[in-house]
Amino acid sequence: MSVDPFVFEIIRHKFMRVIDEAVITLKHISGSSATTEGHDLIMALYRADGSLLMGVLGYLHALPGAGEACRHIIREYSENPGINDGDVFLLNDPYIAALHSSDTYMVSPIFYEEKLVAWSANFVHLRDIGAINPGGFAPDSKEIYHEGIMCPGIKLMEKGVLRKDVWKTVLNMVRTPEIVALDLHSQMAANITARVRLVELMDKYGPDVVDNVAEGIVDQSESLLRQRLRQMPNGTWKARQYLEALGEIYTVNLAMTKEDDSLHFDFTGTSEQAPVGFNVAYWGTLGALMAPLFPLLGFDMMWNDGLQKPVTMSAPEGCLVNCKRPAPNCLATITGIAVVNNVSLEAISKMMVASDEYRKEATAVWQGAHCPITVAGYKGSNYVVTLLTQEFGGSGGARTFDDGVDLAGTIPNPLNRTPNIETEEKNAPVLYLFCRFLRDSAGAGLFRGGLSNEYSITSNADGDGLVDVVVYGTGTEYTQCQGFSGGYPGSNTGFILYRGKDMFEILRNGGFPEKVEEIGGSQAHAVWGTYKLGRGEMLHMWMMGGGGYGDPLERDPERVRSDVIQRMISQECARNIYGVVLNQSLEVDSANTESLREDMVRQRLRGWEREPAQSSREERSDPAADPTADTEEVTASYNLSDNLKAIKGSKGAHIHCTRCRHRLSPLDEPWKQRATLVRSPLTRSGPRRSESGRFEMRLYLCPSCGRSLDVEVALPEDPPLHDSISVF
Amino acid sequence: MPYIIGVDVGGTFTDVVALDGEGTITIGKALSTPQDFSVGVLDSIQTAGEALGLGLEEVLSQASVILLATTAAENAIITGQLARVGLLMTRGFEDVLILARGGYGRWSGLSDEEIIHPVMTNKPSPVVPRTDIEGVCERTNGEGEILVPLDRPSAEDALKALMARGVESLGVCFLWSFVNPENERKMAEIIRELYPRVSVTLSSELAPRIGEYERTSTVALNAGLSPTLSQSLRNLERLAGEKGFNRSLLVMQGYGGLLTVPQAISRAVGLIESGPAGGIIGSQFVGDLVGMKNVIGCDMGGTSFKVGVLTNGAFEYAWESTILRYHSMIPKIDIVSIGAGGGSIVWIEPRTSLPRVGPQSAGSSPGPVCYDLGGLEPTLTDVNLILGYVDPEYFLGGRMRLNPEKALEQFKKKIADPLGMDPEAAAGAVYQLANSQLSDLVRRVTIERGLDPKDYVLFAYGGAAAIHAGAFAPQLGVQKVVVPFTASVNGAFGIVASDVIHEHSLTRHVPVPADEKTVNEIFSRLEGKAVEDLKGEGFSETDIRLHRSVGMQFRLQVHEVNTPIPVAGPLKEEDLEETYRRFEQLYEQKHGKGSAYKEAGMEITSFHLTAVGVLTKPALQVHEAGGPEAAGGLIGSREVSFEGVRHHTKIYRFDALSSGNQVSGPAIILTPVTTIVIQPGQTADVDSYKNIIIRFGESGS
Repeated sequence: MSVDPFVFEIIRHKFMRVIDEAVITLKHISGSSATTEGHDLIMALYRADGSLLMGVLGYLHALPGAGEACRHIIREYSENPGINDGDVFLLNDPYIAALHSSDTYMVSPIFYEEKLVAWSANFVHLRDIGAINPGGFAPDSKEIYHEGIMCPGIKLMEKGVLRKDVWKTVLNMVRTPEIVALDLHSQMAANITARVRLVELMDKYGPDVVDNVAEGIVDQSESLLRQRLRQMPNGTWKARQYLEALGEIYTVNLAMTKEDDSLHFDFTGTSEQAPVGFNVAYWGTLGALMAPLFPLLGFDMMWNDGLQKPVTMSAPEGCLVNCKRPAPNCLATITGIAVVNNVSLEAISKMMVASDEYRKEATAVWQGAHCPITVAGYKGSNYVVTLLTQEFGGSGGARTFDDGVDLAGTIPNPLNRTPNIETEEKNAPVLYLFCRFLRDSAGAGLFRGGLSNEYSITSNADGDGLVDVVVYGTGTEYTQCQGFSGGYPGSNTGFILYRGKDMFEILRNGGFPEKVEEIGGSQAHAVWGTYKLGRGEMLHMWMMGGGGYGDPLERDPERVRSDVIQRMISQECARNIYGVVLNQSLEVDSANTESLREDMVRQRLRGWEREPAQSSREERSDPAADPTADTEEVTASYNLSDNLKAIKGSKGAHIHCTRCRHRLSPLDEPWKQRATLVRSPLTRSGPRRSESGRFEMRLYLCPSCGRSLDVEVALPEDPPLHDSISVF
Repeated sequence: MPYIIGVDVGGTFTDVVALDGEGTITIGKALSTPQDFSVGVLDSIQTAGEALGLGLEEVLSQASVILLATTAAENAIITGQLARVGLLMTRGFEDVLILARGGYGRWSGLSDEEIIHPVMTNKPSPVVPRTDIEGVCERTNGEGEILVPLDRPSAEDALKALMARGVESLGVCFLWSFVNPENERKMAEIIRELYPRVSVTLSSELAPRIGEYERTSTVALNAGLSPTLSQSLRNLERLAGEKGFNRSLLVMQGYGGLLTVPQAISRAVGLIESGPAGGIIGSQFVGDLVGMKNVIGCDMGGTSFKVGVLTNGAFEYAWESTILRYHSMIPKIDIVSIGAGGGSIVWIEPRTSLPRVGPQSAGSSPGPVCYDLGGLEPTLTDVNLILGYVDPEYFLGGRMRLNPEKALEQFKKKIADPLGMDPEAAAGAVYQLANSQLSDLVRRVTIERGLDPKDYVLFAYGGAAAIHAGAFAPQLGVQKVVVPFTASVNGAFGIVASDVIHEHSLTRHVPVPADEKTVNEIFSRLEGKAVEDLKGEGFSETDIRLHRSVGMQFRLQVHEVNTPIPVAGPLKEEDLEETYRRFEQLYEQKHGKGSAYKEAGMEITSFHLTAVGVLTKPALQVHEAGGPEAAGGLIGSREVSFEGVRHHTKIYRFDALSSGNQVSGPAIILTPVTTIVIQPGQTADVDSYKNIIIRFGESGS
């Protein structure tokens, strides 16, 4: 780096301000609540070749794709129609670079003295894109052609002049042209701000110095990430998640391999593309796996192309995470992309746990399932279509040192938040009947996950008094918030429609009990499609609790007690899941707790429905007597999950339980084959877990001490996930 | 001779300004006493008295009024000295405060560095734990219809349960109470009936605005602060009374107006940032005096850098703010504060070997290396000393001797050597880096409000601002820099320049075009109460000013813009039409041309009345003009480094300069509390009030 370090630091700071100012412009002009309140946006600068230089905090999975949008424009349009100063391109085709059609990229080249020197790009979530259902999240879409406008890059502005023909064409194809016009205006204005400010910077320091700093910033991030990766052991970490819709189950399978200073994400084994809009195209998947990588591995780095360079990805063509045209994809951001976020986070967390230095950075999944709903109906004389986003709350995953944060938000968008109930009631034709924490939703563990929320709405519509509620729910059977390192999964989501009972009556008579179903009336699942909701009827929804970390039977009883007092967990769960006995004045009964826990370990080891472990009886019966455990000279050791250590010593390489030092297996054998496997229904992890029975909860226990080493939630026929560390 | 006494209780010092009938300002200063701030207040008044040759009791008995701003509310939150609060909420929505709008409660108030590291973030512990929150059977909807009237038995049960747990103060926040407060008022009646002595905060009275989370948070803070502040304000009244003070004590609010003690207690959360508000009022007063209406006020001290803006002589409110990660909806003067000051630590990021300034601060203890109090991390103050801007013998008017050798030694070791640079060159580069970032910050504050810095003058006050302002202001493009003559006690001075102000507002959605009758009814109701209140406080009709405004927005867009209605009496149709036009204008001014989606129509969302009880402000002393020749103030010269070049630089003493004097840069003017650095090519004029006005010259930078 030849630039003076002080000038470097000044320019680096100015880049941040350029983007900042562009976002201010975006928010000022847009005035839409998704952009300004929900922060559903990105804004970023790219270097001349389309490589990411710096982005604002927003939906991070859009950052790589917007760079590809720049490169696509360079490749396709350099000759015809040409790329000129003052051009603005609109691009939202997921098969080229976008996440889904609603998240429209606006891409602008930046010239300095007639030379292309940089790009600026942004997206916002347009209120409507002309898809088959209003609003863009379209459960009825069967193919990409049902998903509205699909631009592979079109000039909305040419040499600084808005192209009226293109402008009118775009607005002609959406339901709310005036609002979309504002969004598009705000996007163009933001790019103009970025250009003006960047050119000013180049005026002051010269384009070469500015670009040298840009290059230096990217190189710096790359070298920092590679350095960090070298501090982790080599290995392969696996993660698997599922999505359900209309009775079908789709699998996303990830094997993440770290070798030296690079990471490879392999999605082999993922289901074929779905006939619903869950599918993710290539750039969406790459962005989705990068989104948690930025804050997890890059928590102290600048997020740019440098963090992308050590990362590669492969996914079979035509699978759910590398879909082929014309597979539908409009729901991707809340389904396929969310699940890729989750598996990427799980694999990265497992890798970080392997290193003593970074284990504190690992986390169980946050907000595994994303379940906004669209409501439409009359507010006064206006017919309004609105997204309800209490689900933005999200629940935090448990960490290796503390509980997950209750209603924490989400990892891929560091700055989101839920709207106030009053704001939603002001904008949408609905009335909330309650909105509160969902007790026992947190995945149990040594550290529990964060709690999620539950809420219910009734119609407050004018006109015919009916609201169309469009639901595209996921997570009602599978728990995307799996536990981590032996922790249990959080609650499922749920969507129940209540009819035949006046909910206002219940409101007047004291409100809704904790077990809402006790109020009676007709109750039916309302997970997928459009439902009519009348005044006094109710849609009750609950969200997914965060995954737990570590064995719940090892949780400090005082923490359990405090959760009971704060009404975060029930006394039943305290007893049945945590094995904590409280007396009448809610104090911990230590003696009974200890014996109950011992009992529960024994019961668990005997298996609720267990498969015999393959490890030998001798090893199991008396691990403490194993003389090698303490006397062996250890030459290297790594954590394999947080409960297991991979040890290389004078007596070979093997894996042992960190609690009782029982040797499970030689290092080169999958340890899960030697653990005691207990298969149980999901309901064993707490209330509001799916009773459908299609997914099972698998506990892999230490055959000796009975500790929960790893928990998988999976289809019964799917194989165990075997991670491996191959450093030695 | 009667004195008006303004007191600004800050984190470290308590400043006092005593103003006599002829406009003479006398300053007092003493260490703050956070345990019980009244001690520091009386100490400080005593030092002012000493300067006047009077004893404490003499000053107090001659004082016509004491006006107070204090950090007591912030201190109480930091140290957890809040009363135990019980909250009464709409049943089914008891968790509003702790849900904290999901991630909002987790990331609010964090730095960017913390936000990009989410695994390490948590929500702050709630002001009220879940166990002290009870739901009451009641519900109002957005149109103000009462769907469920307050259910007395459930209200009593909830109330008794909380009191049985030992809560000391109560807050009530029901959904939509700001549209129809009936259920909240009924709840208050029940409380007064059963527990007449417990303090109660109603959300519909304290913060009648949409957004139940922020409203609840504000109520919780207020309920927690009220008993604490009641005790300390009463204590001050008592102590001052014992020393002969028998007039009224008025308390500053963050929105820039004064309230009586009982009002201040019931609105305790409003005390937050009352000191900085004084700073902006001070700038406003000086700006009015010298005809500068567009002002960016920069207050830079040891640990913080605060920016506030006056446009056309008026400041804007921030309607929502964060105090130590907690949300408040009490309007306050919009002042942005970041952790940058003389104590900001200069360091080298170890993995990238890049120099950084802040955000860590050495504070005042151990403070910069040069304080010689054990600090070993180089700070901006050390850099300014190495460059020759700060005089080691005349720091804080000579009250503290600095150790330049030690500063240089540490700076060389920790910064210059690792970078392979000459210490003076490295110090010069740090100075530029800091200035670049300060100008970035100020620019951000103005741009966010849709303002162009080119239309503004920058006021520099506080201990460190005038060292940097001359260097960073030209980058911003502002017209000139003013170091107000009040720079050392701008806050306390601003308090003296303040009026009694009550903010009344009402949230009501009225589509445009609005019916004049509806609007007039609302305003006359607000005005009736406002006038009655002020008269009750002893203001006569002629000293009462009423300012009306409405919050407006375009339908389907979220930005609300407060639009003044500069008309008195009943409004006519054309007055309203004029208001709509003004709103459109203000909207585009703030949010950019073309940002208004006018076709969707507009609506009035809230009605505001600012009721001012004008306090007399004595005229300030105008100094006799001397000539431009500043030799009278010259005390010497020395080598000072500017942009890597050493300049032979004249040093002046502010106290010895006369009105009309002109100083050419490079030059340094020493005042008892700060140093004013005039860059090469700049000129500084001393005006008739002894404000220093720095002009940048032809080049502009």
